[in-house]
Parts: sequence; C-alpha cells; structure tokens
Amino acid sequence: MSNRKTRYLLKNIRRQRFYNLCLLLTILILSSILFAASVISQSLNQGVRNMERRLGADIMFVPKGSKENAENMLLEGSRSSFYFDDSIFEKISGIDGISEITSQCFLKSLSADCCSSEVQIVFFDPETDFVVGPWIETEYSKKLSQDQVIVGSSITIENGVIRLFGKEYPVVSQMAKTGTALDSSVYFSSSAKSDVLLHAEEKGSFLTEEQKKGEILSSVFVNVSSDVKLEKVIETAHQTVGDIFDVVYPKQLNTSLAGSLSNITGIVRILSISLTVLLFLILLLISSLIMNQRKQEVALFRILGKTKRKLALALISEVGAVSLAGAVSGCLLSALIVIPFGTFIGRSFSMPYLGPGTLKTLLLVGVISSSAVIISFLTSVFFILKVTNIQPYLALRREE
Amino acid sequence: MLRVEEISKRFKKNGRTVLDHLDLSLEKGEFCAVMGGSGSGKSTLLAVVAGFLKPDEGHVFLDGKDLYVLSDKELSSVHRSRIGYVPQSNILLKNYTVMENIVSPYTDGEKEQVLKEKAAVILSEMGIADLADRFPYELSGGEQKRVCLIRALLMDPEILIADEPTTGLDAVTGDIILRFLDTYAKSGKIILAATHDEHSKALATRVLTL
Amino acid sequence: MKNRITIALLFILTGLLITLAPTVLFKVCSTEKMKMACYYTRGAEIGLGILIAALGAVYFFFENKGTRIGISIAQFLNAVLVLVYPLKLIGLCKNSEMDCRVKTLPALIVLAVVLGGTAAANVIYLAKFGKTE
Repeated sequence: MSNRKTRYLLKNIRRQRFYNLCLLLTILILSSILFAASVISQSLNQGVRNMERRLGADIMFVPKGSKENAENMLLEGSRSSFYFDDSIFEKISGIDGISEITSQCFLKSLSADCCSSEVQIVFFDPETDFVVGPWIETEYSKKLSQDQVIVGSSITIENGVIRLFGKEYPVVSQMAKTGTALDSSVYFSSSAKSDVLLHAEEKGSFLTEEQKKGEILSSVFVNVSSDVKLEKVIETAHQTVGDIFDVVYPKQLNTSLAGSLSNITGIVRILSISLTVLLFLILLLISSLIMNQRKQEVALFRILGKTKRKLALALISEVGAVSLAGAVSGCLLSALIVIPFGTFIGRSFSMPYLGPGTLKTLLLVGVISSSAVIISFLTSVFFILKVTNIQPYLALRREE
Repeated sequence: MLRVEEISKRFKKNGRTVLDHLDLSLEKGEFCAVMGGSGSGKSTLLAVVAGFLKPDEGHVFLDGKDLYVLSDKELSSVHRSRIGYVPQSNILLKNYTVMENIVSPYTDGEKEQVLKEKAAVILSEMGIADLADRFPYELSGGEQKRVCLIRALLMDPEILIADEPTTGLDAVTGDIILRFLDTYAKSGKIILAATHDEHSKALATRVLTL
Repeated sequence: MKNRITIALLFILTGLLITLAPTVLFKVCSTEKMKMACYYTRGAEIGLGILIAALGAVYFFFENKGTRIGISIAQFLNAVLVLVYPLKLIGLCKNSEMDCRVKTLPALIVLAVVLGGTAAANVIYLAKFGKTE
C-alpha cells in the first residue's frame, strides 16, 4: 500500500476515534485473553507430558513415614532425603511378578558455587533405570564414569563443572528444560555414591548417621507384570522385608495430574469460548453502531461517485487495520506478563509447566492475531455490505 | 445531450403520482430552472434525472445511454465526473474539514494535492478561501451552501443539478451563487436547478414549471 | 498540561512499583540464611525506583518541551538500568527456581518495559507534536 493511502486510511480511522477505540480495546482484550489461555494450557500440557517420564513406575517403595515427602518430591521437586539400608533392593527384586526394578538414592546439598541454593542429587543406575534413565539417554547415551555428572536445565554450571561439597565434578551434559522437578537435579551414576558421600564428609559437610554409612538407597521403583496385581506384590514385600516401607503409586499420581490438567484446560477452554462469544456479540454491536454512524458519509460518497466496491473495501480495511493493531498489541501485552511469569504461574497451579519457545510464541501470536482479525471481519462484513448497499438518495433525504 | 423520455414516478406510500410522462431535453450551455410549488415533484425530477432514483416508467439518456441500465461502476463514474449534484439541505460531513469535505469524495489519498489546489482556487472565487480548514459547524448556512456547490463542481461536471441552490440565503450570497451558475452554464455546461427564486428565473435559458 | 499530568503520574507509579516489587509485591529470596546477590539488587532497585518516581514528580513541574524530552530520555535509560542490575551488574540467585527469578525478575521486566515504552513513546511524541506550555 502506498504511503499516501496508508496516511489516508489512518486519517479516516482517526475521524471515528471513539468507535475505533472501542473496537481496538475489544479486540485487544479478546486476543490477550486467548493468548494467555493458550500459552498457559499448552505449557501445562507440555509440562505434564514431560512429567510422565518421571512417573513411569507402578510402585515406588519409600521408607516408612516418607510417603508425603516422596510425593512432593516427584510432583513439585521439593528436595528431600530419606533412606533404606540398601539390602532392601535384593530382597524386593526376588519377589515374583516384577518385570522391571531399579533403585535411586537422593541427597540434598548446598550447591557450593551458589551458596544459597540447594540442589537435589540423584544417584541412579544407568543399567536398570527406567524412570529417569531413558530420558537421560535422549541427551547422553555414553556410560557415566564415577565423577561425571549430568545436570537438569535449571542448574547453574560454570566452565563445564559443578562444585558440590567443595569438589568440582565435570558436567558431561545438561538436559533440555522439562518444566518439572527433573530440571533442578544433579544426576550421578549410583556407582559414584560412596565416593561422593565420603568426599562430602571429608570436606566437613554435615551428614546424618545413615548417610555416613554409605550403603543406602532412597527408593525402589518397580514395574509389575501385567498379569500380577500390585497389591499382591506389596503384600509379598511386607512379608519379605517387614513393615519398613510406604508405597507411592507414581502412575496413579500421573493419572491424577492428568486429571487436574484436563480440569484446568477444560475451565480455560470454557472461559475462553464464552468470552469469545461475549466479545463477538460486543463486536457485532460496535460494528452496527459504527456503520450506522457512517451511513450519511457512505450515502454522500455514493452520490458523488464512489463505487460500492471501493467504499466496502475502504471500510473493511479500516476495520482490518484497527483489529490487527488491537490483536497484535493484545498478544504482546499478554506475552509481556505470561512469559516472564511462566514459572510463577506453573507454581501457583502446583503443576509442571514448560513455556513455549520463541518460534512457538511467534506462531501463536500469528494464529491468534489472524483469528481475531477474522472474527472482527465476520462481525462487520454484514453491516458493511448493508451500508454500502443502501439507496443513497433516499438515505440522504432521511438524514436531512 | 441529456434527454428525459416519458418519465413517471409514483410514491408507493400515498400512491400520489408526482411525475407523469414528462419529457425534457437539454443541450450544452442551457440553464434550466424547474419551478413549482412545494410537493410538485421538483426534487424528485432532479433525483431521477441525476440517476439516483429509478423512475417507474420512462428513461434518462446521457449521450444516448440509459442511466438506469448502467452498472454500479459505470454509473458511479458518471456521478464522479459528469453529473454534479447539490442537495437541497447542506449535507456536509461533520468530522471533515471544509477542504476534506470537498476533496475526499473524489480521492483515496491519490491525486489529493492536485484536487486540493483546484478546490482552493474555487474557494477563493466564491469568497470563502479562509474557511478551508474550518469544520462545517463553524460555517453559516450560505457558506455551507457554497461548500456543497464547490464539492459538486470540483470535477468539472458537464451537468450540474442543484436542488434549490439559493433558498434560505441572503440576497448577496444568493447573488454570488447565481452568477457563478450563470457563468458555468455559459462555459458550455448544462445546469438544471429547482428554484422558487425569480432571479434564477431571469437568468435561466429555459423554465420548466411542474 | 494533559501530557504533563499523565506522563508524570505514569513515571511516579512505575517508580513506586519498582521500589515495591522486590520488597513487598514480589519479594526477593529471604535473607534468613544469608544475604545473596538478589538482596543487593533489591537495594539498588529501591533506590532506582525512588529516583524514577522523583524524576516523575519533577517532570510535572517543567513546562519546557526540551526539559521534558530530557527527563523522558533519562527515564528510558533508567528503565534499561532496572534490568541491567539483576541481569548483569549485580545479579540474582543462580538457581532458576529461586523466588527472585520466579517472581521479582518477571515483575521488573514488565515494569521496565512499561517505563521504557512510555518514555520512548513520549520522546517521539514530544519531538513531533510537543509544545512548550
């Protein structure tokens, strides 16, 4: 469009300042709500999908009394440590009906280079782990040696190392962000466990009596063959090792997480649909008012020789330009809040949350802006055609 | 050049026939005054001749072409450059300045400057050059009327149709307008004006009484 | 007059919010265990917020166009500084799960964009249409 035409368009928009401002604000509200709603529900969705990886076990055995801690650790990434004697692993793996079994050991630590923040250390067995193992393999498939570590995305590393208990460990890989508790952990191979504990003690870190012993693990993850009941396995475990454990059901946690996700997205969807309908009605009202307001102008221009087509196009481009401006600024305003506050939003839902990347965000701005423009086109096209098709002479006489 | 054949117009509401098989033919340089009491059908005749109001019977020919069979685009082009129209009441767009009122019907932003310069010339000929940037509500009735006239004349139409161009104006303003119309007709254009005014009658080359 | 009131109010409001964000509204991490980087950023933002609000008040009293443009440019640079403190000069806690990163930083980003955007738009507006009152 030529410069002159653009200026002419802007001038015409300014002439109907009040109505165009109403139109702009309505579209702005509509698109900012739609943008926020889709970013939030997509991010929760992505987070929950990533969470499934960590919750891929039928049964998680944890020491008696640590059920709540374990659940919070899985779901919210709160840091905790609780221990079994590691002989429990052998005993449980002997139970019939178990198809997969692995153990992990958790350790809370102050991350030495940032004195302020604790990190969760996870010792896992790369050979048998089916909980975080497959996920880690997506980025690092080689064997992890004694003092190498893999870190989650929110762990700060400097010069390729992380300082833990006063010792530097080389970081061989940093995982991509998942939006879950996985992001704030440091992963060691379980063969490194006794060395790390020993070293921590030498450096004067406070260790509990249990930790000092070294032969510990925090939880045993089990998948059960499909023809065996979970209760049966748990009962046998009770008989074998005694009443020293609590049971967490990660897959069930996952189901309930997925349940609350679908509740949230359901509410978000209902809210955005009803808002869209309401704003659609408001847009209809605004368009009918604008076009009624401009009846005289259109009739006069028709009498003085402007074609219906030209007038309709001019009106449509005015509505289009105002709506596009409203839609894009609505998305940007919404992005300005929703994107920086992403982690905060996820935290207030107590759900894993992974915000969209730049490309996806831009795509979303594009999709929502064009839908908002289409909506405003749909709400105005009828009135535009109606006003450009009036009998100009009679309309003018009526206005006299 | 402009030929009106056997036109009739009835109004559905009251069934009253205002134009009954009327014929009229006008050539370049003619100034035709349409006289008659109120309700006699003067405005209706002008609207039918201008191509705004389809007659129930009969035809309006411009250079042999029936106005009422033209497409929207063709008819619009006739209204844009060949037939200028001045409505009875001073219809000006209230959120447009005087200059914008005159120029914007004929431009989409293109050629705006050329038209503005031309409008400025006619504004000063009519003695209202200083009002170009005012808004209609700041103008007197006579000034508004002149703006409507300039708007109709901007594209040099061959035919100017004016509905009561001097009604309600003071003598001086009326005189300015009439002299302008007279000069315009003498430059080889056609003027068709509805009027009660005896002065117009005196200037007219033909008088049609309804 | 209208420009002076609106812009001055906006400056004062964002200035106050920049002071309140790390202290009251979106607090930085607690200093119970020890004082961390975000504690010092908090101090800097308090001062900067007060400065921004004070410049907003000063803006109200100047009728001269040039002065108002000058103050707006200063506010734009202040907006940059609002972000440079936590991101470069002083810093925040390194762990991205900490409160200062989850709450305070996003709030400062929003406020800095609002302040910077207002100031930049005002400079352009005044340069184009502004008059000395």
